[in-house]
Amino acid sequence: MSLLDRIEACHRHDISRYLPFSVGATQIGHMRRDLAEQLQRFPSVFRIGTTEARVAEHLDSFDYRSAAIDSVMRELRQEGFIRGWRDEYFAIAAQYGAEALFDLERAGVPLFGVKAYGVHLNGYVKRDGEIWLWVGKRAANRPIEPGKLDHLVAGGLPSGVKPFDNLIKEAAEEASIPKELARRARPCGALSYRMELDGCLRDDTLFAYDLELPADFVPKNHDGEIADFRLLPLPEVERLLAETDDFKFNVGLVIIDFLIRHGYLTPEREDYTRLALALARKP
Amino acid sequence: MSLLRQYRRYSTPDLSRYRRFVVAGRHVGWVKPSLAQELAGRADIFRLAGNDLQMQPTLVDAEQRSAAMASVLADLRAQGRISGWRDELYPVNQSFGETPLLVMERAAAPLFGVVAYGVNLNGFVGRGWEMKIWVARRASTKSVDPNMLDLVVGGGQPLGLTPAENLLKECQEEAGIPVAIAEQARPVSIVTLLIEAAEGLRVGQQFNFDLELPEGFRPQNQDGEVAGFELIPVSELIHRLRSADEFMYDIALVLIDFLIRHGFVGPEERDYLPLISGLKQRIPFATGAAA
Repeated sequence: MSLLDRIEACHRHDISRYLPFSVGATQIGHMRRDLAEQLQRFPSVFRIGTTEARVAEHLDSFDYRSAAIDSVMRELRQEGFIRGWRDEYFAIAAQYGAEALFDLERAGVPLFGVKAYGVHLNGYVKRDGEIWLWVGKRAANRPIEPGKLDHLVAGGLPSGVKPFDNLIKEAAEEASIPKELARRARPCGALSYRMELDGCLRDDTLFAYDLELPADFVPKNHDGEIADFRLLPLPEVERLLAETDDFKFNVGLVIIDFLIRHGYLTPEREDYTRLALALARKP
Repeated sequence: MSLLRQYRRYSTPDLSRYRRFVVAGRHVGWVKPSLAQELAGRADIFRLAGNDLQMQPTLVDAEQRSAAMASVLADLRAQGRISGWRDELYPVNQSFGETPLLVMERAAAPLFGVVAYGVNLNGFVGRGWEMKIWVARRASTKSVDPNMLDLVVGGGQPLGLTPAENLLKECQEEAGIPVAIAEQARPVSIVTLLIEAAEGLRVGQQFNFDLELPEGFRPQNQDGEVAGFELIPVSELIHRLRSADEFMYDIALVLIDFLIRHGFVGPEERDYLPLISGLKQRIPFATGAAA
């Protein structure tokens, strides 16, 4: 593995394995074929063809679509087809900033291969001019990537919540960062990727934030999602990303971007251009 | 108005309307078909093959290819078809750092659609919304974009220097920034562009650096290429980028990259994601940018 491999892994997918999924004339996702098979039983909600899947046309508003799709999702949950129910809705739209078409239970998002968003916080301290990054270890009971290293604060973006508000909320829950401190976090970019994970197409964008923390700050987890925190110097962060699979699959994108923005990785590095361009690769 | 207006100042080229420029089997640029046809008349140097304009394989190394190209460019220059001749040799390759396949005059890069590499400095004072950014008004005598706003320091990336070394040199020449201060500059990003301009295809890769300057610092131009300097508050900078085209095209992109990295433009901006992806315009042959 290398830093470049780490980025490339987040772009690996075979789109032909999925069924294009649309609302009206707009394609918004890439559906897993076994989900499409299940959804054939609900023709009043989904129209499933051999080359595409659509939401039934008569569901012509956000509210109609949301209610109808939610009832299907709950039935599939009852039958055990949908696992890892989160009781959390994501707003589904063709692209960021576009009108939401419906709300979808988070556990269903990867099955539909629709766009989802998250916030990730690079929480760091400076010691003698060197940057150290706070890293959390995900709890063993997490549905995705248990036990892996993660950002100090990270979370999916629920329906109707703005990225920065979500960051403040997650900062309190995940790391006990007081609101007045969390509010100093600055947005610093976004990383998009499309990759296959557990047979699903994940089409995600992570909004990245930086927050320099006081040297004596110690994070404490509240919501049970993080087992412990550790403060790592950047060479160690780089080594873990390049040589191990210790980090959650998508965290490397945000951290490598951080390493470039803070001048830790420099143009003298032979792979600098490739790293910078790979981070920006469009699906 | 959306900051995307800056990206729309030039059209995205339809590359199928160009011939690929191929050297030693490597695709390194694009040439207009009319120019390719004309150059193929120099059969000792060029040939047409399929959709490609190739340099003849009888030119076996960078030295021979560079000499041949220099003679061709001298003719074009004599005909007045290359504006702003610089007497600066640029490397031609597929991606930065590769051994050059040839070197050629910088001003001819758009005619062949080869990648021009450069360095830029975002020089600023203050923090947060108190931040101000130093910009330069280009001299009226500049061949490219006279009188437009530019960064306090920026320049082409010549052979034989690293981007950091080049930046240090440009800091002194263009703004009189003392070495001790210039050395604090940190590399922060890459911006790539591919646009169709009057002079041809502009393909560029910029290495950007940030430098916090002392409050009392005043840039001093040494090379006569700058009419004056201006210190612009960051909120005013955003307004001006939204409402006018005062900055050079590539510099507007570098500034938007700066505003995004420093959090002055965030996810509440409706076009946040297209603004970010537009900072790395896809150069099809450049490594890492492939689909």
